[in-house]
Amino acid sequence: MKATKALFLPRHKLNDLFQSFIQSGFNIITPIVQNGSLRYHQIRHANEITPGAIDDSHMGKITLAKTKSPRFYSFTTTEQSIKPWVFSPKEVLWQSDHSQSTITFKSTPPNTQPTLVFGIKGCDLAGLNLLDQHFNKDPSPDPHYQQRRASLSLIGLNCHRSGANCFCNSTQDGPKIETDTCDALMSELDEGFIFHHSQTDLHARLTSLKLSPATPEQLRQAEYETQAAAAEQQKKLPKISSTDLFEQDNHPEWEKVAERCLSCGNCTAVCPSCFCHTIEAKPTLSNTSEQTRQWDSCFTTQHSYLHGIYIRPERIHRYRQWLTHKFSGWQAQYGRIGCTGCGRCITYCPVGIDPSQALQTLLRRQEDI
Amino acid sequence: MIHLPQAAIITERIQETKTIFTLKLRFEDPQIQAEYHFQPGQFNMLYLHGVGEIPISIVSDPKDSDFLQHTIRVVGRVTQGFSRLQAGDSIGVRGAFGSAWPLAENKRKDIIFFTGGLGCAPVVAAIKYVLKRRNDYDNVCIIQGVKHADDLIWRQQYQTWQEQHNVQIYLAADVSSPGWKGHVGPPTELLHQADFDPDNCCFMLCGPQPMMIAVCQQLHGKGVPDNAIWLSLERNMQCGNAQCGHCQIGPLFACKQGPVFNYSTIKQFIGKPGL
Repeated sequence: MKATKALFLPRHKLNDLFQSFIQSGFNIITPIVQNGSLRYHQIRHANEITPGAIDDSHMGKITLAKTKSPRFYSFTTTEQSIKPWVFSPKEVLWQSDHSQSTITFKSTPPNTQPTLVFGIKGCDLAGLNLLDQHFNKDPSPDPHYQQRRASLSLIGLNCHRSGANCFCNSTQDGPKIETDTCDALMSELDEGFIFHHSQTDLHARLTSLKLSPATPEQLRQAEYETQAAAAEQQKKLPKISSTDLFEQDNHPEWEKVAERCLSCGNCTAVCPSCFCHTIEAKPTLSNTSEQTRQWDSCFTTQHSYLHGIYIRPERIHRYRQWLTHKFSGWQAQYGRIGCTGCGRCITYCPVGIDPSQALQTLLRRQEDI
Repeated sequence: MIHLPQAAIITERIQETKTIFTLKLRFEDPQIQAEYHFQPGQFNMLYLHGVGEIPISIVSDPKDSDFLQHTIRVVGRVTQGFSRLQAGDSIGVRGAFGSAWPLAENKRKDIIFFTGGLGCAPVVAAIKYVLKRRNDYDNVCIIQGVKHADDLIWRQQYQTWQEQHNVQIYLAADVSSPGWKGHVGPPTELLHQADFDPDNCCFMLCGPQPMMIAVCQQLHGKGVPDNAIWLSLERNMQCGNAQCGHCQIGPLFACKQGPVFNYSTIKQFIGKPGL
């Protein structure tokens, strides 16, 4: 059940909303500036949020600046998406015990608490939906992912600013959030937050704060800002089908990109949808062993290791694998591309490789010939 | 069974060759043993305590409900560890995972099993299935190639299959050894001897990928349609549940849509370097 009448929350009342959740046993996580970078972090009071923080992203570079804006969420993207909160970078899946003559197995579920994610943007919400499709699917959803995911309540936030690497407008995941997959959706203005819609529970909490409805001017301003943010975006993806990149496996562009790529795996680590992981036995000194899952990257040679051989021994093979999977393979697997236009892979690539540019080149031949 | 292993006891260990051995297993929990089922072509993730998990195809008959069998070749760290186990030792099993050979769908056809190396293991359960229902199928043929004549396991079994079940058996070794009566050379050179109707046959292939691709190309020349050819492929598999991402072949997960693939589905994604 969603209430659709937009309410306006003045910024000074935001902490009242947070406290209402905290009193109900929720953790609150929201993007804040911490140790010089923007990241989702648990807060206990609204004054832990840094007002006016903005990011300036380039190819292979990001700097943070403080502006005089009173807004809490003027930046474009956090360093990491929400991914680590649902798909832990490293966790124990189960434990085996061989202290007796036979082995026993015990699952090791994560410790979770109800968590309010406040201010998730369109690109990251779409990334979460992609991870849901991958990990939370029937008939055998991943129990760790499922439990972490079920603990989250999501408050989406329309973006009012785009960075140089943003192209969510091209993937249709932002700046305005159009999906119905968050528990509430808001826009931020100088004077506070518009809640466009909210689930019943949240709506009741907002109502108890004695909020007024958002004015038509406020709604128009919010709409104008998301449209302006969309218009600001310079990067754009070409139209790609589920077979296009598989058909371009011999294109000379792969060689050019591979020459620059360092195989560092930064792009896969910051990608909101990359899901690859290794599973390893970690024996302890007490006859138990922890079966441990850890993020992996298709840019490592080990990723394709098969009893003595490597299926993708060269960097060109691995870059091609990543991009082909992300933009064509994903469509065959899950019905859409695996990219949500957040631009992090460009920002955090040490050599500034831009997949949107590579794709333009890889697919140009169709129109040119 | 999918996410958490179940303990199984090794009831028998058979040394097949110097580096190949078979483990006969029974789940410790009788209820799990009773409920466990698989189809020929599928695999289990076998767990050796403190060492790791590996995907291994199941070689027993699906109708043998009181045990299951895995044949393993020592190739790396985990298989090395498994090779040291003895009857009475306990391991973990998750499964069964993956796709199966299309056996029920291909009755009244000529069935040709074409295998290389230990490649025979993934089709053994299928061979047993077909021979148990021999009258449901027309010609049955097994073409098996090995690198060295000494690598050939289950010699006795081949003879039994040939004599008692009216199966054509063609064996090939790249390197022969004293007493070797089979062909010397690649198994693809034996294909012309097999008796099958290209319009009414089903090929089941496993073994080294280049060998399988060579067979597919030969079969194309003989008029066998692509969709009558099935291949069992290997990739790095760590979860068995299409989640860890390592086993992808094109857009397909080898642990889910495979390991048994129809050639028409997988054709465009195999045989190219690094794909």
